[in-house]
Amino acid sequence: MSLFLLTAYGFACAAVYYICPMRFRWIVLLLASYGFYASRAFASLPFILLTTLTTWLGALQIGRIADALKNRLAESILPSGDRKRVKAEARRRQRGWFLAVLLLNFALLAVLKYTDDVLGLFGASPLGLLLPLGISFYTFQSMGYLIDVYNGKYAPEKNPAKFALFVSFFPQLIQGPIGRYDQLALQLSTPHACDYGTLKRGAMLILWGLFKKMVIADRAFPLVDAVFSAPAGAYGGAVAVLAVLLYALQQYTDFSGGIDLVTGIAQLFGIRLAPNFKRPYFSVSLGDFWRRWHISLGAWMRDYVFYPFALTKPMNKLSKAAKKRFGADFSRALPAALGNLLVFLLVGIWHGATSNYILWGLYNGVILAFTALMEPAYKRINARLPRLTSSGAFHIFRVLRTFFIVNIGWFFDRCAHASDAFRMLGAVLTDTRTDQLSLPLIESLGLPPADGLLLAAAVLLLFLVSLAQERGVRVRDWVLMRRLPLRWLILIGAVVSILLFGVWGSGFDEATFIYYQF
Amino acid sequence: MMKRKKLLRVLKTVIFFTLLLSSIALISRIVERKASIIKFKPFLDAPEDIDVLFIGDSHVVNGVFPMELWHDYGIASYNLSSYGNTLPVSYWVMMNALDYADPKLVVIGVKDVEKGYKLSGSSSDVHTAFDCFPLTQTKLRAIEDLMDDPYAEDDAGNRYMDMRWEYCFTLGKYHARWSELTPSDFHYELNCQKGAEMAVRVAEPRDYDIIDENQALEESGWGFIYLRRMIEECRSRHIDVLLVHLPYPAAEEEQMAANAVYYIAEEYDLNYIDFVNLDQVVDYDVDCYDPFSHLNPSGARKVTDYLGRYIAGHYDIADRRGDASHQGWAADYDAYTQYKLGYIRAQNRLDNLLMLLHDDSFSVCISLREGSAVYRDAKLMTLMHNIVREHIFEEDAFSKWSNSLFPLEELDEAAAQDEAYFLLVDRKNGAVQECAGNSAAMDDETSFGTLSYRAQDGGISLMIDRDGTVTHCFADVPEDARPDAQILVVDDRTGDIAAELYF
Repeated sequence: MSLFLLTAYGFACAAVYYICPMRFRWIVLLLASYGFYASRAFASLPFILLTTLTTWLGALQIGRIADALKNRLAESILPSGDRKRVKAEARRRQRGWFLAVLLLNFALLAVLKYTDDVLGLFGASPLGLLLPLGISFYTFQSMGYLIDVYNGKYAPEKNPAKFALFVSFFPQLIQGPIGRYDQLALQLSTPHACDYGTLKRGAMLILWGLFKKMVIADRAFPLVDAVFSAPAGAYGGAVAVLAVLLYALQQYTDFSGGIDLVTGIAQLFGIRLAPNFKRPYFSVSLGDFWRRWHISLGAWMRDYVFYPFALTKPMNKLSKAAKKRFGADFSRALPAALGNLLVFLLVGIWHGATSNYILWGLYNGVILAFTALMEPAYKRINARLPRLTSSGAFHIFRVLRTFFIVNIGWFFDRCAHASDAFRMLGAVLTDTRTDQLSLPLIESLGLPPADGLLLAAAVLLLFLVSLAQERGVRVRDWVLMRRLPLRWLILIGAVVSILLFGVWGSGFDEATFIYYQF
Repeated sequence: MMKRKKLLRVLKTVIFFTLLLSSIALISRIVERKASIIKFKPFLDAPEDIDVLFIGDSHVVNGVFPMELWHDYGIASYNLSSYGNTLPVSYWVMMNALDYADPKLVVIGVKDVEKGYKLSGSSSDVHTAFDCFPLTQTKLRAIEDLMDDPYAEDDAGNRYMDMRWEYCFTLGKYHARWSELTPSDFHYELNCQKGAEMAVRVAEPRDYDIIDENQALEESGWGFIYLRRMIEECRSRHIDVLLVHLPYPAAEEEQMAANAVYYIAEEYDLNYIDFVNLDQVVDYDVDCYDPFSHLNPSGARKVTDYLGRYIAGHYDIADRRGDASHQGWAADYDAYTQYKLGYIRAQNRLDNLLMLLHDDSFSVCISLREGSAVYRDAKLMTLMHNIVREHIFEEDAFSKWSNSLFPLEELDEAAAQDEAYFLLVDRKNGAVQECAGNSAAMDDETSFGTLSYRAQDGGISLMIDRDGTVTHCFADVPEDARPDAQILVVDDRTGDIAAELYF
């Protein structure tokens, strides 16, 4: 389904949604979501249904056990020892359901997603197993719900259809954001009245998403693909730097453009999805970057991996042991450092069980762990040099430093093998071949001068909009507050720019997102 | 108050979307490849003028000149053929055209009737055939029908089925042209040849042998199916049909396919001209644009003349030259003649120029110097003869064939003696004069003035006295240039010298 079709589908479903009586509106969303999923990946339907049913059932059982326990404790006065025993028994039964459903779904995800990668490590031929559409995203979303129910954060959903809607809500199926039940489910099941302002804002976000994806990301793609797919040694370090910079651009505009698109579509129904990006290339540290990039995955990892891991008893013991040897600051930072290592190892594996992704995850994890351990020292330095560290120049330095660190990581993210990334990084240091940075070569790599100029202009626009947002300007509100001729000029100009300058049409599937594969 | 506010909002929304759609339509038109507009707009602007439609593939595009039919026979026709058209495409082009025109006769080119596919590999050609037609039910049916095969792909490997919507909304196909736009995208000239296109070059044809007419392929495949549909559609609308297989050095299987059409013609009681079997009409040595072989303008004029005479003799097609309804066609013919002159003036190859001079619209003077390289080039010598070669018609094919093949006797004499040679072709007066010799002279009253030619000392002097105004021709040729050939082209409409060229 092309992005235009997806957009048209969103508008059509929104029209049906608002035409339908209030009480049926969530059903429209459910049908629209399953209609979308079936049209995109009919063969994947059993998998999403399996995850939906097992999670719903598992959570329901966990909830029933909790309810039964509560009733039993309320109805009868048990001795303290019996209360503990009954509670432990209930918890054991809950854990049984919890682990069964959790393992089943993560095992399914792991088998379908990683079998070929693992076989590849041993030189075996891939099996070509079906990777269901959006499996990573809906599995993480469902398991987040299961963990929350298990932890008693909220009661389980009793209506399987409403839960199915939470898992399958079509805008976020392709590449997230990974929603939380307590933030999303109620929005989905509550009927929304048609609001002209919300519709306009949703439409504008859709346009911005399409612009980022089709005009910027897909125009940068050919050169990035050509360089990263080239045989070893074909290009020197200068071309590699150009390619990784364009990849940084492509990756961001592809993913965040797609997220803007689906967030805009969701907004047509009056539904607010969790934010997933917050201008990550304005980050001042790697930790800041990961709080601005793929926010929903970061938050998922923080809540369901980082904190549970950092607060485990062994971590407490380790922290205490470290305190004696290395001091209080170090001991406080140690669980966070190890937690970051674990989280980014998992994030790397989440992208793929190949050496490049694992190293990319570890690269980020190690830097974050090191930063966590050095945090007290940084604070002391900052305190001693307040004028320097609060200056604008230092801020820009930190932004550029972070961008530099992130881009080294992108080499591992984009290359097919870790060895390729090392080779390209080596070329950057020792074999720059700056003479390759000629217009004819760049054109032969898929970026003719006219496209390059267009890309530059689009990036400038993106930068200005991001800068304004960074300074607190609400760009959509700013546009909507302009006088009508200017407002219409901007909106019509946006549509025309996307149609004219976007990469789309036959021979090109603009609906393919980088994160679609994850 | 609320109602008024709502009304205002609806009004604003309508205006906004009107402006948005207009903007999209505008950019769509700007970036559109103009081939289809250039080709079909003149037809769509005045479809009611047309009595005869020519429909076929590139061979018909290059092989039939409606403006010549108009000039010589008063037949108002349009050539709707496009490059790469299969018969299924031709069928749908015809169906779209018949939504606007009401012709008396449809001439169908049957080349490639044996092909089993509906579309060629060039999606651009298919766009040219349909883009200019408005989005109507007929056009939608055409796209639906032609692109119904899920396995049919264009040369780039894109499935036609996936591209269907691009034939309805061409922005999907052409939006990437924003970086290729040139001034010609904003100021383009429409086809002034009523759909035909000149393919200017003289090529060596490939070898071929004419097979027996009884050797025919068995009828199968989309080509035959759609040929029958075209015939039946025309019948249902009471439109006459003439089937033609234009001349080219056809391979054996191509001839067998064309021979199968005899049975269809017989079944429907239609006329069918297989020019491949009438191999006297054109001379492949001088009339081929490429080896396979599309006709160049020399060949096209011969075929067009044949078809004009045939249509005038066999069908009830009115001579429109005096009709008030067709007054504009005289201006169209002027524009067409100017267009041909443009081609003549632009030539930098002698063979192409000599080929183009096989044209009744222009009188010609050609002077070859003593020892001219033309004499030693068999192809150029044939092209010289071709300038005045008569057109051959079915009934007098063999009687005229030998006489008309090499009509310039003095030329051969001059070549044999390696002497200077002068040829005057006064088309308006129907006169051909030639003289040979290193000190030869010619004085003649022509339609464009009193001509005086002198050959002396290896050079020539050519003067034309027109109503007391004497023009010294080739005054700009440097004295030491000694060109092999000096050519004067006169526009017969005005008697003015249209071009002086030397090689």
